[in-house]
Amino acid sequence: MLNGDDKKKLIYYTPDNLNGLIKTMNTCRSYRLCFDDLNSVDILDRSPLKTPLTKAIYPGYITELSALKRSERFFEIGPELRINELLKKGATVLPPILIRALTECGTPNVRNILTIGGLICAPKIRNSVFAALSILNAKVEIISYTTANLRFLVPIQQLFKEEGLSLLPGEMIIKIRIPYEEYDVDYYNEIQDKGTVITFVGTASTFRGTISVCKFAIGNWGDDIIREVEIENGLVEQKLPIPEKIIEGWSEKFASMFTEKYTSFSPYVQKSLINMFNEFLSRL
Amino acid sequence: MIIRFMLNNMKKNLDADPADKLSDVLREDFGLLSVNSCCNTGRCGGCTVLKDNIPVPACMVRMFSVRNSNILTYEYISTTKEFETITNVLRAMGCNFCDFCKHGKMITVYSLVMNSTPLSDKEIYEALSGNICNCTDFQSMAAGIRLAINAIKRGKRAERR
Repeated sequence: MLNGDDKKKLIYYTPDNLNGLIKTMNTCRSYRLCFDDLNSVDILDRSPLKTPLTKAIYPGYITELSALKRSERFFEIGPELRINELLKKGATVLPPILIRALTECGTPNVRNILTIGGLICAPKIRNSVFAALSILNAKVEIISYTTANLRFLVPIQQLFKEEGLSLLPGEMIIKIRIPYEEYDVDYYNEIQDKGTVITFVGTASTFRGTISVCKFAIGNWGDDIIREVEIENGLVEQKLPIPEKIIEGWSEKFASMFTEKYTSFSPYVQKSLINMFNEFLSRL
Repeated sequence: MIIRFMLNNMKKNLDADPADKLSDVLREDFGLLSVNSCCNTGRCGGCTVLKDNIPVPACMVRMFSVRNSNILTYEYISTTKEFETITNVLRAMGCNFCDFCKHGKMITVYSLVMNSTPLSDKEIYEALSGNICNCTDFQSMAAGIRLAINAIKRGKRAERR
């Protein structure tokens, strides 16, 4: 919290474009960046001497950060776009899995203030949307305002490492880019275990009676998204409808994943996830 | 930081930390005790206020985002004509909210009614799912909200004539 004198010195600044924001960040010695998300306030004091904060920067009015754009190949979602607005604007456009994942987060009143960028960056909450975005091969556009306004794209799975968010100081998410692809089967389901939500998300496309694309992911309470590429690749070029024996074989392989790699899941969660996997395959 | 905003349709200038919660400021600086911050995570719906006519949980709104916006609380809403109509209709339908959820639920209902668009059961249920208290049954609430929308529409038509 700020002291009485510091409060008066603090200047409120709301840039209306990204250049203004970056320019202020580069020139200002100490500032507080205020975001509309669950973490809400990020303090960055660059000065070696502990000088009082001089600016509170609120990027909520930057149109570039709160827009939904659709080009020929991508959807571009600004991180400051509120989830209810995103659901209204993109109801007919966005992939159905993403819409389902977005409607599952929070209450309607919370979704009025919750932003998609904040949701991705908030620990322990992002799992539902994060799993859906990883399946849709979403990428995040990051701007680094310390190194000559460098812009680069990072796949969303690489945004988090074991320690947490992999953004360096001076980097900021400015876009979430989702490739435009249509899938024949979309599957989303979630279970609750001991107050935590675990999601299973799957998509698949078919071409001339065979599976051409098959992807699934499990979003758990931690930062990791579980994806089993071996099973995904094995299912490609499988003829449809899949015989029951083959489904059983794949579900056994899926179940072995919990005994070998991911042992932290309880037996109840394991069974539920196997059932979800079977249901996903039976829908193909 | 001086924050200028409208509170219950009155201009206010407040010297506050941008990281302060709106619910704390409304209760402590303005004495608006209808804003009950119980869970502080936006799940209970007890601290719901209208920010630019959109219901939001005040415990999750920080002061920096309140600048230049209009905040309406239960204290203001309860003085309006429409509120009287809504409470009369809801009472007639047998909806008596408890003291824990009354403020939050009435603000949500008020925003639904003032939008005055025809609503399905699913939409009403979805909108009210932010208030976790189960003191009133949903069916009578949904019927009450629909009746209130019609009553307010009729009132507006009568005024025009």
